[in-house]
Amino acid sequence: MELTSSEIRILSALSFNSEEIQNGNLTDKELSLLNEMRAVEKQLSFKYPSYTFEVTGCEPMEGTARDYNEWFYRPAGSENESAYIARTRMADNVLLITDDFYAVVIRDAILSELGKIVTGAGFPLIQSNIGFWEFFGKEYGENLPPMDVLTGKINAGNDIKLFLDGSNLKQSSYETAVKELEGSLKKSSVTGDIYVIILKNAQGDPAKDRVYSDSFSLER
Amino acid sequence: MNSSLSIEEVVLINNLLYIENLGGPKGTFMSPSQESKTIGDYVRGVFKNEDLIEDDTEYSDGVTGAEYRQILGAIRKNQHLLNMIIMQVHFESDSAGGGRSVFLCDPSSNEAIIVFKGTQSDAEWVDNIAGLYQVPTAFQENALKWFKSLPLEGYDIITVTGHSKGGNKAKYLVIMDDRIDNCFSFDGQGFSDEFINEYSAEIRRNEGKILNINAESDFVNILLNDVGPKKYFLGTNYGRLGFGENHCANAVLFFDDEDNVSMWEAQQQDKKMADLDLMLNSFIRSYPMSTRENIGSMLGNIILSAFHGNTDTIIGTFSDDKYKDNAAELTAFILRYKEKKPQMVASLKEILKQNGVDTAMIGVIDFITNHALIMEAIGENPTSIIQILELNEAPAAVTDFLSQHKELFAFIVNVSHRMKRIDPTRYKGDDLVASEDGFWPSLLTHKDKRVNLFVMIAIALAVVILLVLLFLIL
Repeated sequence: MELTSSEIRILSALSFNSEEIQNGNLTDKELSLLNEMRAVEKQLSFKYPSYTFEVTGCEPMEGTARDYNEWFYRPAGSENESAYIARTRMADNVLLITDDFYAVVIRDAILSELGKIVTGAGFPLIQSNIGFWEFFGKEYGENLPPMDVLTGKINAGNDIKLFLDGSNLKQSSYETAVKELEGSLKKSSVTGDIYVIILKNAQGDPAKDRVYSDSFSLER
Repeated sequence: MNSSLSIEEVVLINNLLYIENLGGPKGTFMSPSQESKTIGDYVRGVFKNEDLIEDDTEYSDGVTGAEYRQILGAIRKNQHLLNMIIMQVHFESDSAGGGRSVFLCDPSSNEAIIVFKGTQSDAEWVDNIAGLYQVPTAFQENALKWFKSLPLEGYDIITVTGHSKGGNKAKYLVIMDDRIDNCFSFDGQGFSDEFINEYSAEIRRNEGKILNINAESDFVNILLNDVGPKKYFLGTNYGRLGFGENHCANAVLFFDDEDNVSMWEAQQQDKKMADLDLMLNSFIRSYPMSTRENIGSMLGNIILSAFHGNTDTIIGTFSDDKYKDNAAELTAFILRYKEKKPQMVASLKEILKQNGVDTAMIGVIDFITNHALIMEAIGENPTSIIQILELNEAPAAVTDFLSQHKELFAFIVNVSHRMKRIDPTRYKGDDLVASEDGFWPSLLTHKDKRVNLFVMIAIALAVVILLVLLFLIL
């Protein structure tokens, strides 16, 4: 069997069978992993045509509490970065593949919209971030509408962090500020878990200069 | 050491890294979505979905929902831990991936705390074995590379910690990077003789910053040469994995009814583990670095197959052309070692007893395996042996298994041949200590005898020369 150098490298790192793998002689388990690896790469390229991906490794589910394999991958040109993850599981003899890369595609648009909502409501936003708890399959790729995710029309498990400048808040207390911010986000139909972190001032360190934090959840 | 962390806190933090899907996906601690939150935010989030935690389900190997409830309950009572901020969650991408680590900030002490999870994937298992013959290993280097990429300027204290393989990575980092102030290695394996020799200067410079937190009966902290002081703690965790649970990260934690946590320092390492430690070191030292890769691959195949419950592959390793000689060598070594140091049998019996195994047969096995000739006779007569076992009403599972794996008999013959020439006590089993001048002390146990031999040869030569001279004179 013909293997690329990258496939040989990954399969060899996962077993003690490297000589045989070099020669293309794979065990059943290795063959199954190879097929999955190729399927993951193919689906990622199909879902996100503007990007090129490299699958870098795998953590098989055997011996763990998980019921899926985890595949590590990264877009071309990214180094030293935490790996992105695709999950594979068999259901009725069909390989189901889900991934987390949609976050990269929609993050900037969502953060821009959030910025408009928060500053528009008069809050001194220093920075914001968003993570997602869901993994999506073929159904949502590069064309995933960011606003549908922000408003919960498509449930991605939004996890939003908002850093505010404590020296420029208009409200009389941090509690009041968070309550009012909750109202503003709700009015704009934002959904998800929201963490509000108030820093001493705009130059404050996001870890060391926290003066208050609180969280709330908004549902659709 | 100047860390603000207590030993209990170090162990609790290391436990957090193993929690996956506790009460749903948000119960996974090691997720990029947790970044910027405090440990308190995470714990409160999990307890919000407390009803979804299944007490009897294992959320990581050997640790159940009920046990994680206790762990998080203890963290919930510790304001110091609750205030820590999750700065960065890292999934290793290089070398087939799998390593996971987190960068925490303790604002109260302005301390950066970098935590490495234990063996996460098959690739990390392969890397564990590579520690026998590679200096350094790929995942040790990956860990250092990630550590160097972290924005650590401005922190007053830098602390690294990790459990199991994570503990080994933490030790590697403190040896290699002088900026680190403290290292808590929790049941982490050590390093090869070659590593200790190559980095003896770095080790001597930084080993005072290390504390090895060891469970008294753990079987990972005994591997290879440890670096830095050690403290042993009692551990009493016997669940589904039996003896294997000695290595679970919660094994050393004791809780009262109100989720208060405590740890109990043991007088010393469990004697059984200390014996095993010496034997493994002696065995590894019997082979030069150049041949250890194949031995390591053989051991790795067995470990990975056992991990995945694949008995056929384990047996296949014993009969595989590539591994059969090393497997026979290892088995012969253990059997000969047992002959020389019979306390190994007592230790093995104790370990099996603790796992509820009937040890009545061990005396018979012990007798047979002490005698290479008996083993050879058994190995050469598979059919007769199976018949004898059947006549003696041996369990059908045993006779069926042996009938299906007659290649094991050839393996026994191979072992018996090797037993005749192996000296299992040729090399010392004590941990190697980094020496000041990089000098590698002799690990041979028979050094004195060899010196005597040289003296005797010298005397014999002198006598011969004298006789020749006398003959010439006369």
